[in-house]
Amino acid sequence: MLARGIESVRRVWDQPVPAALSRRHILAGLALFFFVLQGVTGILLLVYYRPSVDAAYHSIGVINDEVNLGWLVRSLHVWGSDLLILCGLLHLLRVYFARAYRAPRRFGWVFGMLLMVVVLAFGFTGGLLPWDQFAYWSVDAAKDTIAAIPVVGSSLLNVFWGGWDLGEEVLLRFYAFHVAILPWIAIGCLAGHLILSLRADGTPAADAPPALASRVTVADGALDALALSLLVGGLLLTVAVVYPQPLLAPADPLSPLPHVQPRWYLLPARWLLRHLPGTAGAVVVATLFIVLLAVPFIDRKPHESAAGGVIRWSLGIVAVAAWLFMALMQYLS
Amino acid sequence: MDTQARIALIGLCMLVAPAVRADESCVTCHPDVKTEYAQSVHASELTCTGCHGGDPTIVGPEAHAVEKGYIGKPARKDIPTLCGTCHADADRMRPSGLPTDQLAQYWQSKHGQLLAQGDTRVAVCTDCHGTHRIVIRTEPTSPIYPQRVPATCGRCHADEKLMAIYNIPAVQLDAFRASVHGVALFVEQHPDAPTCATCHGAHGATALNGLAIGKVCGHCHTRTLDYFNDGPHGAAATAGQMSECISCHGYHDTPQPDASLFDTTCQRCHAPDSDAVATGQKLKTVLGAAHDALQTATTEITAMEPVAPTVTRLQPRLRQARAYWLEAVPVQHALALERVEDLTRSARSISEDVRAAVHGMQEDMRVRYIGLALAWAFILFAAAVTILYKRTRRPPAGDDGSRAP
Repeated sequence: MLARGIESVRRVWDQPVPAALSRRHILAGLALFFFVLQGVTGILLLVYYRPSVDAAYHSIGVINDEVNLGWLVRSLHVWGSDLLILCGLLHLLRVYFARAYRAPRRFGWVFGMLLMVVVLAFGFTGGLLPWDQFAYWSVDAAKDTIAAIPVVGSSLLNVFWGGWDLGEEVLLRFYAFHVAILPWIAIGCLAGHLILSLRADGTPAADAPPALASRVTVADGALDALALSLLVGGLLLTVAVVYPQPLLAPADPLSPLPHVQPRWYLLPARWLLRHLPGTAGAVVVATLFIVLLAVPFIDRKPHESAAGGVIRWSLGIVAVAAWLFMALMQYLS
Repeated sequence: MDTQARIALIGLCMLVAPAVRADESCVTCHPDVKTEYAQSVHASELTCTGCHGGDPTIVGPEAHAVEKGYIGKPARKDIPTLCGTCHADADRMRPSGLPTDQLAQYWQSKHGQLLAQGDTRVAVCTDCHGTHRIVIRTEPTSPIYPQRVPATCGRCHADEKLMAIYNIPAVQLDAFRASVHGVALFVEQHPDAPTCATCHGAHGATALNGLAIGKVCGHCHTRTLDYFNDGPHGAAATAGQMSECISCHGYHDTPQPDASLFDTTCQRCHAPDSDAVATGQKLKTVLGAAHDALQTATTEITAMEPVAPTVTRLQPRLRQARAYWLEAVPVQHALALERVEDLTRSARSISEDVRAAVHGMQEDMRVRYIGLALAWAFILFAAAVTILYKRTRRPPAGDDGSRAP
């Protein structure tokens, strides 16, 4: 039986990888790697974390200073979330510029966008859990931002804050979202994204020669993925060791922390919301997201004209440049 | 417009006209004063005639007629009483919440006493508050804004010729600027830093005699004064044998107190080989050791923060050590050596604990970097093995990335 099992593994080992997979999916693979890492490190942190105003900060302190390698697991978890979002954004850009969002991958793109939102929500809800000064005041600063979102702002605020001031009830809600609700939504979105994207086997993106991918065996792909995962894991480990996550003073509602900046991926949104009057900033952010979500339904032609290509590339480059500009301006403000 | 409405309009114009003329008649000749006065707290309450008299309904020199109540520029000797017309009137001052005892305080002050004797060179209300442009003390351009008070007092008290008349030195302003209090006021801009008025009083400004100084210092340095009075120096001060705080710390030029005071001040009254000087040296030693331990721990934590941010968790312990040391500082004024030793021992002990924790973290960081190096060695080895295994498993790939047949 063991021999039969080994033989069947060997057969799969020598099979060509699905045509839809190629080295172009490295970023997606890395995002998946970090997603799994977040799950593993998150479960390890869950063992020691205590979700209450009186105990949360102390439990993070215990993780940092007393639990064997607890500081490393926490640092990997926080840095891993940043790298997950970075890989997700780069993957999104690659798919956009490769025009790989077209049918039959349209709904794969939609699930991917939703997954991106869920990952950002993970970052937002996880930010409060250490219950130190940065956690408290960065989430407090986001309250007005969420409230400014037209139509759904107050509902979202009600979902996250539940009508309370930042305290025990809100911390518990964020915790519940972070460890119990968002993971299932993320798994659902990820499954949808992978199934709908990989279901298009044999119909790779317009710029991907199908013949190339089919000549690579599962063994080649797995060995490449292993080597890459080792190197990327090493880089993450280095960042986590050299720049361990800080833990400021315990949250103090009476001592506002001056000049709290959001995480890097929310800098452009904060800049827009600060510089556009009233709810205009939230409307612009929401509109940009909806437009991005609808890209596959706007660009539906099988073959792109030269002018269309120029427009698509120009829009993409301008969007990236604007994103970087706003992030820089907010960071320097 | 019907007749009743016309009558009402004419009546209104008649009511308004004098007020308009009151403004216009003075400023026709004194437009610069109008600009200055518009910024004054008095602008909404008083017109020119409130202080200067005269007839505001007349444009021209006739308005200055004495029979019209014109007093012109008030004489210096009359200014306090003139200001007191309103400022000592409880009904007038109640809406603004200002105290009404300034005039009474002024007459009790050295300035007021000399003015009452006919000396008009002393300060009167306008010398400190200004004349037409009088602004509240929280306005930074006000001459009585805390950081401007020393300069305002110094206009007279730094004038050597004027002070020579009263046999008062004119160096206080410069001495104060260089003092620990001056640095707190001008450099650190501490909101509670003392000004001249904090010690000498404002309206009731008076020189302080030696015995009163300690009480005045004690308004802020409360615990220090309590401990001082508990110790042998308190009894000596009460007996008039020494002047409380200033015997060691001086006044106006009070320097930042440090351990060197034990080397320079004790010997002024005590013999170098006396027990008192020996006690001072012991105090210097234990306080200095605690201070050094605290400084070292603080420096090490600060240096550690960029590489190990969690070191900030040690700050509360360090604050506890600092609290012991800060308690020891006033206690030393009681010359209670044993209590100072207890407090400084606690401060030093906690500081040493904190330093040990920092050193532990430094060692931990070293181990982390060694672990990281080992992890990289394994990663590179495993990656190399993986790549080599892939190459040995299949023939080399073609240029186009495909396998050779």
